[in-house]
Amino acid sequence: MTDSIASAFTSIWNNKARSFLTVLGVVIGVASVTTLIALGQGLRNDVSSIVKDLGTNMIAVTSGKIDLENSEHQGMNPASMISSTILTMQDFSDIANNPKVEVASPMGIISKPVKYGDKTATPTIIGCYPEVTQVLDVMKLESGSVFERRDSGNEIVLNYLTRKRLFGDSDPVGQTVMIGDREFTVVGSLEKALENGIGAEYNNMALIPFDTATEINAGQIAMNRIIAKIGNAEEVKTAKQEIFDTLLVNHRGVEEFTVLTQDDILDMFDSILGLITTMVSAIAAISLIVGGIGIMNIMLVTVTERTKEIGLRKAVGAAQHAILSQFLIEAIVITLLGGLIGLGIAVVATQLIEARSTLHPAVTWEVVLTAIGISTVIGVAFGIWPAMRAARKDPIEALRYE
Amino acid sequence: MNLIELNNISKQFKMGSTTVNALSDISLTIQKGEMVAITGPSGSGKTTLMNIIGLLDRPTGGEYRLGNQLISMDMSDQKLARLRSEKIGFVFQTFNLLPRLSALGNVLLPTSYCRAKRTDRKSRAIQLLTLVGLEKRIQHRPAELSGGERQRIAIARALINDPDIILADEPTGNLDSKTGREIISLLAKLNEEEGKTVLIITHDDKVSAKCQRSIRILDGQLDSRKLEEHD
Repeated sequence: MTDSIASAFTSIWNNKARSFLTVLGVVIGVASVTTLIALGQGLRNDVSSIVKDLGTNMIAVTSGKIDLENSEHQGMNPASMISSTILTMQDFSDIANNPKVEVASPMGIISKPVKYGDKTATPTIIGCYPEVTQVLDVMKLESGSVFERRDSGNEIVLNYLTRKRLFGDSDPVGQTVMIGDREFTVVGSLEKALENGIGAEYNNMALIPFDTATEINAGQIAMNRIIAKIGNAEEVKTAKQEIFDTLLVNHRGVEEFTVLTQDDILDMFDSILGLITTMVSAIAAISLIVGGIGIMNIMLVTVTERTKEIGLRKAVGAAQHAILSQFLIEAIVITLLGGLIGLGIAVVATQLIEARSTLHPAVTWEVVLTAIGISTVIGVAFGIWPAMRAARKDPIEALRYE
Repeated sequence: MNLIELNNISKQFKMGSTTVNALSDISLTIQKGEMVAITGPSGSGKTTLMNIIGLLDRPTGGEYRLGNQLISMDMSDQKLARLRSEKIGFVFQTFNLLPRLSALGNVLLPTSYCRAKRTDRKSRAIQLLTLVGLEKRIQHRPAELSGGERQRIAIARALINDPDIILADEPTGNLDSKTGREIISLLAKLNEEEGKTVLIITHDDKVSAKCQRSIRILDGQLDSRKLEEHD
């Protein structure tokens, strides 16, 4: 075994240029597959940390049905998602009164610009209860405070981007801004929530009292979503079921809403990301097959070139399996070297991506082992046939070969 | 003691629709410690005979005993390989050294396939290279050495697993006559001092004259008229 490995290295070293060209396909294949897997892995990590950062033990109820189980109906109906008329005050009070729910708030969206002097900003204005910041951990106050009640009148908590746009770096608390023809007093402003692309919508949510939002909405209740925080982490699942059952009764058995936990949201992202990663990696894997064919080709040439050596080794006592394993090990050593070079390139590539974009590709042990595993499999798969040809050579014929 | 015993050995090749009798009805014995020449014109079947004795080929008929082992015609490849590594050391006309290995590496090559792993294999290889007079060439590659030196490496390689028999196929065929004589003397020395049984295939009468006796093959059969005893 050690003899075979040493012999493989000698043979590779003696044909440096040829070995390099041979492994190039494997290098490119492994580099691209591992980079893509690392990107996918990084994206998953990002999503999961963002979802976790939103709040702990959170349950969100949205209008519209998202089918997580049935792939045929997977996805969501965008019309029902933005509809604000399905969830009712009854739904909200039932959820808020559930003993497992610590705190809850409805969320209704108002689409109007916010003005300060001659400057305009277009945040997503959310009509909500002051408790919203207790549910959503991402919302932290930079200065001031949240309005005290759902009917606190024309008060607003500015989000990071709007504050930046309208007030620059100065403190907006106590200033007056305009939404339509209403004057709002700024009572607080929020910290920048998340750096990242996916969670960035939270940088763009300004908060106003729920009743004020209803007034702006011409008396119609705007409730796109209800969010709730469950007191005990172990009760999240049962609370989800209870909320679902209650709402099903309220909606006379029509499942026109969705109750999601953070795990559900994660699963949803996971399955989408998993699918994309698999597809893209599969395309990159084509280059691995091409690389493997290159290995097979050069191994066949090597076997022919070394016919006499094979004959000699057989004469001095090598059985078929010894010759087989010698050439198989040589193929594996070549592809493994290619795999390690590819892995090195992938590590450099992911660091470049990390430095130059907002993505955080993760080269985990999983990724490293995948790269090593792939190259070993390629070595075996494409090395076995040439190795078998070598092993089956007749020693007399082989010794006579010129 | 009979080391090699052939009884009515025959070997047939199929070439298309015709059958060629390469060897027919060969019976002979070789004692342990003998040095024997197998001679004959080219095409006579002497190389086929050596391949059978060397366990590289199987006979199509007859019986072959090597030591106390009956070599059957359906013996597995693995079994034959093992017997080769334990019992037989080959010396070829074209040396057959691996160019990328040093003299030492070439001598050590058969040990990778020997079941009885020796811990002292390296020191034994150096000892053998000293025995054949190459103690100053241990790290040289074949390309840096003369023909005679290469054949000496091949002889050391044949000895590394301590075989019973050394089978030399035209060992002087690629050497000038002076070097050839030195190689034959070396083989004779191994026969006398180490007690190795030596079989040399040759068509050179000067070589066969150095052996204790000659076996002549003609058209695949033993040529009984010319069974000679030398001294």
